[in-house]
Amino acid sequence: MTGEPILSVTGLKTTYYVKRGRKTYPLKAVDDVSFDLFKGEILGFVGETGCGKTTVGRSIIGLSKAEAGDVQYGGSNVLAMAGKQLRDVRVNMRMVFQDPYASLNPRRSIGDSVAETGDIHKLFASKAERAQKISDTLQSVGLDPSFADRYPHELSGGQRQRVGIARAILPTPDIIIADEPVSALDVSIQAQVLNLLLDLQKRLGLTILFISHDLSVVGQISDRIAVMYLGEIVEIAEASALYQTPLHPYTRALIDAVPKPDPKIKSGDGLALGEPPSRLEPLPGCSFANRCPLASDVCLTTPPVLRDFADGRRAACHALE
Amino acid sequence: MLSVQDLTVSVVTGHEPLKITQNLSFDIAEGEILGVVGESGCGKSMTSLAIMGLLPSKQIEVQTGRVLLGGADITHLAPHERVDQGVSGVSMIFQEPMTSLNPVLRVGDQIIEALMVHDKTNGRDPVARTRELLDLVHIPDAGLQMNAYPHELSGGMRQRIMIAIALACNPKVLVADEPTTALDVTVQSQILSLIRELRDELSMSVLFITHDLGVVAQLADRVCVMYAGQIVETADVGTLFENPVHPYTHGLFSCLPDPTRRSELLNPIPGQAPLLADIPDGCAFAPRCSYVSDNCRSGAIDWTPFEPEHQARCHHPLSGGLKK
Repeated sequence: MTGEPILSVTGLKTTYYVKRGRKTYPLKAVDDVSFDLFKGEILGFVGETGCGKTTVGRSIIGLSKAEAGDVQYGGSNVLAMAGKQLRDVRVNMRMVFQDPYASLNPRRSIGDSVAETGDIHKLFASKAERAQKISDTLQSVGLDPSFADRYPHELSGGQRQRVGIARAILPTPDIIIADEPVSALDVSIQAQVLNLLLDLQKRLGLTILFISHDLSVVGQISDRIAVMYLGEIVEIAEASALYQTPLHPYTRALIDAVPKPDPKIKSGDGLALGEPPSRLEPLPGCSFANRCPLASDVCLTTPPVLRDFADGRRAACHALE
Repeated sequence: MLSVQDLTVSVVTGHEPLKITQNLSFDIAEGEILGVVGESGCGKSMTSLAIMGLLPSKQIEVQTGRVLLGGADITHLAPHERVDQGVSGVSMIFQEPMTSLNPVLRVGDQIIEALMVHDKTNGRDPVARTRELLDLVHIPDAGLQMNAYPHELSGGMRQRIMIAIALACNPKVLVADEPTTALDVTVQSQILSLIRELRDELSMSVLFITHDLGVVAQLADRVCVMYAGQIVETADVGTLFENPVHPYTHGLFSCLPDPTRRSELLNPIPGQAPLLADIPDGCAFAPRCSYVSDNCRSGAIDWTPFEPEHQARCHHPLSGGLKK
């Protein structure tokens, strides 16, 4: 990717505090994450449960309070904003959530939910304009305008997720942060929603941060992919390069473990991998060291940093040349 | 080993009973893994509960058909009757191990409970047998882990405990309902290889229910594809993935994200699956099918055989394999 980044994240840290008995432990959900998001691209964030991918998305937009870091957007730091300034920036940075059942207010009509951002920011000059905008937006996500008067319980999961996307594009934002937008959907509906996102991205010139645990979905939709493990980005690269020649041993393990829909290609059994360590007692060195086939002494003591490799790829691993 | 014949499970309502599954028939041979694949609401989980005699309420019942285990009819036997009559040869594991385990009992005790109910200790110390079972499912430090409570274990470990409980009655058939759906992909691959290994060691039959075509491809010997309560295509795994003939099966494949064909649009199946109350007459897939003709819209669709073990319910089967 070239050009100026539309969003530039540096040193983002978000810590949750978890109580176990009488003690409180810090859980570093996101630990020193930096990346650039370029205009018009889809950047995928992928990783397993608890790797911090969702927290990255929520911290950028201020839904989770970041402890440190800098999120540059339009010449200022989003993390330093509050009140009206933050609300205004959120018009241009919107979120699509995972569970279309939980993220819509059951007592609001679909039309009211879709128009909510516009209502709050007084963007509609008249009732007629509001109705027209709602109807246009519903059509652009593939729903009939008559859905405006219906309620969430009348809709299927796929339709609700289309409403979730409609809410995020009225008015048209610069950036959409989509957090597992297709995880709750069946595969045939998932394909419809992925197509819709690709179509909207092209039509409206959106930039999308696409967060998912599913490497196949991320690989299908993204231009670049960032792989997260226990709060850190371990590798970030152009999507097809990441797939064809993954650098980091964790990326390799992840790609290997995905069950391939072809009986002739055997997926890895993952037996050597074991399970991830507790987030409450982080390892002193590389957080992947205890599961890594390439681990050496230095990995157990010194955390690796994200380094540059050929073709603009970056990975955090001591074992790579 | 397990034979399901003409099974129809219905919700009893004031009006017409709603059919959750319609005339399902399949057999599982000894040591075979049969994958049942389909989307939410296609009836795959109800099929497994019917086999187990665990249908959730009095309103849902087996209307026609039989479930035979090694020749014995177990269709209408409740779980305790199965234990009493000594036909307890089917075990089940579920999707969410946290909700299936008792949170206030140590996991070792939960395994011992299963051993006692089925009286499968063979006169041996149940604790020793529990330790054997934990070794069998590759739980390290079995002696120590027996004393753990479910919340102290990871998702993968809990699913291993569930499998150990399922193995306590020396089952001939293991029914696994989406057992890896709640797990991370690296842990999922470990559980899949455990199931494969247990099948080989214990020559157990497995009915594996999932929505994930990738998991089916990696694990199953034979596959049934379900849509709206019916099996629409069945074949051995190699044939099904090489040469699917039912338009719905084709549709499922063309929906799969494929990172090697990046940013091309996928080819989704239009529309959505019908609700139970309005499953259309004739072929249930007809309203979403691009090959539909008038004779698809009424009457039962019979099986069309292709190879001895490959058949589909369709008037317009496709040939020529998958478009890659």
